[in-house]
Amino acid sequence: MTRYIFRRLLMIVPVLVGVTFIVFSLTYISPGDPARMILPQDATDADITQMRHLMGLDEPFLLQYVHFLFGFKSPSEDASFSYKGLLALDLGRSYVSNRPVFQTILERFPNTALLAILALVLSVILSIPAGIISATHQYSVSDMVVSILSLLGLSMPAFWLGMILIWIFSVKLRIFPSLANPANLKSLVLPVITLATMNTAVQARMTRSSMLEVIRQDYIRTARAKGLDEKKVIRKHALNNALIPVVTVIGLQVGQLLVGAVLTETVFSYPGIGTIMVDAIQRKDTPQILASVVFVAIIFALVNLFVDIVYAFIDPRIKAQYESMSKSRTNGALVKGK
Amino acid sequence: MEKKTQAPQTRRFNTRTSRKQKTVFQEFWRRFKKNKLAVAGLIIVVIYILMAIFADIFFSYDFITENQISNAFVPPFTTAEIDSNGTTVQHLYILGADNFGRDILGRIIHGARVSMVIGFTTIAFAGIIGSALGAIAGYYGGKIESIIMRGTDILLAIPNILFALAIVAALGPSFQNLLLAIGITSIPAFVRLMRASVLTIKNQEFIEAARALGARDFRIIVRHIMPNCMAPIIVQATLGIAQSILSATSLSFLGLGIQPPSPEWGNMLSDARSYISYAPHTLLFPGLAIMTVILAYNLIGDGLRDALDPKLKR
Repeated sequence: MTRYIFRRLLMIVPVLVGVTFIVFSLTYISPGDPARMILPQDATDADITQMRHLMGLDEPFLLQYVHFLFGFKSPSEDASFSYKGLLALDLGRSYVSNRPVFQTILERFPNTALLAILALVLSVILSIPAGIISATHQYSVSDMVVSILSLLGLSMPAFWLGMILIWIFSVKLRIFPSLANPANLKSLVLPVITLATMNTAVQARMTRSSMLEVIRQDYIRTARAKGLDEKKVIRKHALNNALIPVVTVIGLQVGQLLVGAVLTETVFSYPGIGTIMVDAIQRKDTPQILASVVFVAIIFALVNLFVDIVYAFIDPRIKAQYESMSKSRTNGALVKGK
Repeated sequence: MEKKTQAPQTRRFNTRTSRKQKTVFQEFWRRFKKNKLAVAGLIIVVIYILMAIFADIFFSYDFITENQISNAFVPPFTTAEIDSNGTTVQHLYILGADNFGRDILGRIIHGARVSMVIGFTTIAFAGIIGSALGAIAGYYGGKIESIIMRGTDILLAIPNILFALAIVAALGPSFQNLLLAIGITSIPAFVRLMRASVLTIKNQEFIEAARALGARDFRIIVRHIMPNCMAPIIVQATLGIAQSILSATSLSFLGLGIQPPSPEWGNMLSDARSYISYAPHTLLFPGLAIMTVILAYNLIGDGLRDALDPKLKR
């Protein structure tokens, strides 16, 4: 088991290097010149060249990438041009607010995490029972309702759903506010529903199809044949096996939640990492864009890592595979010792 | 002895090919049309495609991009005067007008053109590149495979729309960049699918036979392996078109896709956002347009999966 976790941990390193490299290259090739953005309109070409030197922008591409990872010491007196690099969570300051970019991100990320976790909990609570009922009562009215609702949820753009909810519940019924902030739990209801809809739909469909597949297996027939209560068959025998692919999907959905948060936060003007990103892109605030995209990508990779490890615990097949491997190795060693 | 064993084989071979020529598509169609929802989806998509092709017949592009500010926010089914080349004419706003008095139905129809083009081109791009890479990875294995698959892992490690967002942010919002961004982010799914199916097929006897006959790798991949891996690719392409359209509208909604005044469903919704309480119809219809077209592609995708699934064959 430790071997599996260790291997999985090692595998994430090249992925993270690749992700940071891609995002860094994208900003590198982007047409705007950061030095020109920082300087006033009437700056001369000499000023710009000087500024590019101070910001380390005249260095070769790969060296700039190394700076990006491990930090950059500016020749300038002004300490604000130096940064400690991605590994120290310091990528310099925003061109717009002049605050360290990661300070803003770390301040706002808990808000996004709160939204995403609430949405995840809501979607799991709704989707798994719905999927099970749908599968155990195939072709019934409840199955039809679940199927149709999940198809609609899958097809609805989250930002549109959010605005429709605002129109119904904020404008017409005046139950929930249209602007959300983490201090006011009531204001989170609409964004959480908006964010959870797509996930609920995907997970319900996955639970249904996975359950349908499991129910047709021989061991379920055996369980029924030996006279087990149908509830017990479903709960103890079918569900445990059906949930394995569902857990994978839920893990993949976490990434979708982070992305969905960008749109949902924009609709509800919620102070999260999504609104940071959109603002930064609209203002061409390169360090802020770079930092937020890399940050979300890393969180996404870590969540996937976590899901994979959890997966190993709930799927006895992965565990067994590694245990048998280490067992055969120790056996071999014993044989050799003899 | 030889004749005896050969004769039935050739006969079987002949009947198989003739049946194949006659009914592979018919067989598929027979199964596909049993799924009424999928057929409904197909009809909806055909309607959208026709709308996209003949958009100019319904409404001229100039008309739906031109401001008619006096008619701003007129509700659905209102007849109002519009100014057309200096002369005033009566015009029926079937779905009402937006904040600049532009006809919403017209903008939705022209928006369909944008969305359909985005959906098809990005998936054609991603499908061809992704399948080729997947086939190469699966067929050759070894170092090439590791390189391609690690690259795919890295692309998959960045959430889809986020990556598209980063590309558009870096290159600037324009139609080409939007296509490129969505196209690139759609590649990994095809690579993985193609590689997985190639792995199951490449050791089968007919591939060995082709190799024994002296066929080159390229021919084996293109003529023998790829046609046998098409089913999951077709399903993925259908669902991918839905995903592409959704990504494009999302990016446009954020102001990073198609820029106004060009009509696009996402940027129509972005405009409508400021007037939710004042003119909900500007919000309702573009969203319904997105939803129905995505729903239709999802239904077709489900139907194709059922119709092409070899497990259910006969």
